[in-house]
Amino acid sequence: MREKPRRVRLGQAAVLLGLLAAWEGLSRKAGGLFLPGPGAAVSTVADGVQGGWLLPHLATTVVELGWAYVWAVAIGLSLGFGLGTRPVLREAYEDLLLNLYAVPKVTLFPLFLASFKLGMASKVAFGAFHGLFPVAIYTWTAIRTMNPVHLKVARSLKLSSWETFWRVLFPAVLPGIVTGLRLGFNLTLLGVVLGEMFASRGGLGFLLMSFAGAFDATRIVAVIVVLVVMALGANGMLLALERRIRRGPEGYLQVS
Amino acid sequence: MTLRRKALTLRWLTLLVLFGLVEALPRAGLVRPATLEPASVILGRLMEIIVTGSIPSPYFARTGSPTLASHVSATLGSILLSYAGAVVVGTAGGVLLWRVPLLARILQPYLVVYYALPLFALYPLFILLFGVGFLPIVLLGFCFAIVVVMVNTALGLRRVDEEVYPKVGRSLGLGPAQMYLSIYLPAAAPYVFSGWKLGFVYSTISVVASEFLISVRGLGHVIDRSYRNFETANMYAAILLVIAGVLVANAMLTRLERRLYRRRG
Repeated sequence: MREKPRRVRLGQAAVLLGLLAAWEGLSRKAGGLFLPGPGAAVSTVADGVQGGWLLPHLATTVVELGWAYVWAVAIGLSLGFGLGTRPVLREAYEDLLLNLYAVPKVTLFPLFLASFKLGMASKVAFGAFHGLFPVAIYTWTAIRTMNPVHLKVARSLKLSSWETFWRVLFPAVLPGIVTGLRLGFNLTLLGVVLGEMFASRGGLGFLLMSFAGAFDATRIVAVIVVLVVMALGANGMLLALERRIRRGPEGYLQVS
Repeated sequence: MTLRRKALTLRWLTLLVLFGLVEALPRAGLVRPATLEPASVILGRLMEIIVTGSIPSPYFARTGSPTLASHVSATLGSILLSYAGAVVVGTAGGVLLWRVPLLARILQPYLVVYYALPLFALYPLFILLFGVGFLPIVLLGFCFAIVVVMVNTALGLRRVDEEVYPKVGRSLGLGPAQMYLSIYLPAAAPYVFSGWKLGFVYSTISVVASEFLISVRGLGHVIDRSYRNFETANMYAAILLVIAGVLVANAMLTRLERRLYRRRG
């Protein structure tokens, strides 16, 4: 998989240019008012920054996202390690959690609104609920599929349970966990934005819905651009972390 | 007690405690009825809705869509349409990715970040472009499901390439059509089907979420409107209905998937 990196690079650049050209073309065809092109989107983002209608909402979303992700990781890792190291717990709860993962979790958002009130807390809780599943699932899968010889060695070296965890279990499952951390981040962001779109008075999701009500396509596209940049930036960092920890060569179409 | 028995006991005990809490908290007055109704009331309401086929709600009576069938058919229709599109286009795209490795390598970084984007942010834009109705919902469901189908199809076919079956086919001198029909189709079927199953989950999630945000019909719409009109029992009944539907569909697809894997050995 290492030959022709140049053709691949060129192709990737061509895809990006093609996407932008298609966006521009669609925008011209639909009329800039209905679907603003890339240029208009960027200048609207700049206008949002200067005009002050963008940054406070961006800050709200970032704060909610940050707290939600902290909770998603904390709960996800605890669930993952709990179910991964205790067969009884896994037998009892794995199916339940996998099924819950497949359910459209938005339907449960009113429950979060009811228990956490309308402010930030409900979005944080819902984002965390959305994002904790990949973290938990990847963690317990990594523990289950880890080479049991590592643990045997730890036992024969008479490591304490803390040492076993810190020096053996944790490094062995880390590559699996970082993938879960990245996918968990994506779902946390989705959950926070969905929560804001459904019921809130702040955040980028709230902006999307209020601009939809005002038929303001230009500002909607600007908010989408901000969200995309946010998602790509965070993902770039998490992907780089993942590659450093994994080290091995990249697999075919390895998307998760 | 064996591990399995212990685990099953634990699972049912947990579910029972949850059910008990949902029943007891509102009855004891610890949670307001606007927040949560007792479990028995919710289940009763769900039975009533299913048996009578209509939602007992002044709001839905006024808007002229009180029947359960109108909402279920809207949701099912959107799911099936977006899912069918994603399966057809996604499978074809997956075959193309597999046939043209250069294309797969070029698109890889784009496919990796695809699900990182909060795709629901597109929904308000789709609404402005296409109006409130089925089209934006179906389109978003399609966008949500297509990539997972595509990637799993390509991965499945690629896995078959690493196995012995294509070699057998080639040494038997099979033509391209026969290679597809008698080698790749049966050998890749379970892998491809796993992608189809995920695609179904994804398009369901997308359709219900879209209905939940802005729509005129559908089960997601019922949940949203019941929430905003403080019809708590109706809301929880609709949530239960959606969850039950997804769980049943998922269980059926999982059984089918297992059978495919077993037949393949």
